[in-house]
Amino acid sequence: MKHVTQRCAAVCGLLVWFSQPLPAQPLPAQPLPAQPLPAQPTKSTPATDDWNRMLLAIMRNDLSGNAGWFGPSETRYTWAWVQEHLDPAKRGAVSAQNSGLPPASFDRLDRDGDGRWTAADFDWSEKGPLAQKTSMARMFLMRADQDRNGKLSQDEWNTVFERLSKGTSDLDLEELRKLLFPAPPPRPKGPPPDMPSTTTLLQGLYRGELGSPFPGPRLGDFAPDFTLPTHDGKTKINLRSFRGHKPVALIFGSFT
Amino acid sequence: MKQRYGDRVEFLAVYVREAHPTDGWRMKSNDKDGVAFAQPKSFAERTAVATQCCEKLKITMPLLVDDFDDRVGHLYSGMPDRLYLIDRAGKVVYKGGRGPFGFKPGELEQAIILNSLESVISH
Repeated sequence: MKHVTQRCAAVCGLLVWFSQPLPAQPLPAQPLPAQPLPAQPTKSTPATDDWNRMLLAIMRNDLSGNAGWFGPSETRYTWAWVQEHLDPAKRGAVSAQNSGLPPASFDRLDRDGDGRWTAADFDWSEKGPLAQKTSMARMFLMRADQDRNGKLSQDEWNTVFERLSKGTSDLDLEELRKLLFPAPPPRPKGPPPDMPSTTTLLQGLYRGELGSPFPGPRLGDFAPDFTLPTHDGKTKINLRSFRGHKPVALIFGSFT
Repeated sequence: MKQRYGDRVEFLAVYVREAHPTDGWRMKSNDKDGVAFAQPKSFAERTAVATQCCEKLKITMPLLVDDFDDRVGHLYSGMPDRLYLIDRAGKVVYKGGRGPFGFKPGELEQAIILNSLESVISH
């Protein structure tokens, strides 16, 4: 009941937010992007579905990534694309030789390490076989990564081995299983201690800190042009200047 | 990734609105690392925080600071973090999911390698 009351209060309190228009977007100085940028999401704006999903996820206290607006990605280079260009006979696999790539590049995309490209290597969903193995590897890393740099050093590996072997020089099969697939730590009851309040999350949504309400360019669109200064103020970079010369990887983010 | 592909792909970082400011959804993990900033109230403030970010994370690619009204962030729906690959013709060939869950550098790398392969195949 307390949660319902709190959420009602949060929603009522946020009537101010609902009644205020989203921050006005000044028209870009350069030609308009391929996709018109609406002043606010409307019923005809694809962003509305994303927005509603995120709003519902917040109201349900579900920030697990299964709800909300977090994915999936869109790429030109799907498994279907790879097959069309490199596996016309539809054998279901592409070898290093058939890829035409140097071994180092081929290996980077052979994510399951079986020496071939298959559909599994292109499945980035959270439910694919590789995702589950990655999840187990992540659990191992979290327990072994003492300096919290996101990588496993040889010293950290040795520490884990020594802890599990209890001074002996080898591990039997059961001990090895416990080493590689540790049991998950017990989940504390109740919401995670760091879980922000619904009000904080809704403020983050409306301030653009959780994400932008706009959809961004679609796959296949010309990337919207922009010119921005570098952090040191020494130069300005224009995206369009790279057209015809080099592909561009854009990494959006912030310190926090 | 920049070390591996930086000779053939231009890597540009775009610094946007803080995802976990101290006056918003503050994260204890950030506090432990000494990363505690309120949402910047001006372009100059944002630039100052971006500079600290660049130094602490040793970012070697150009770090572009978004306009204070988040114009480019909204153009690309880039907040809180997101990855894109734009090919030589200027078209979007990879659009990552929204961060944090959709932020997958491996997907970007896959797109970079195959985009490079496509350039070879099509010639």
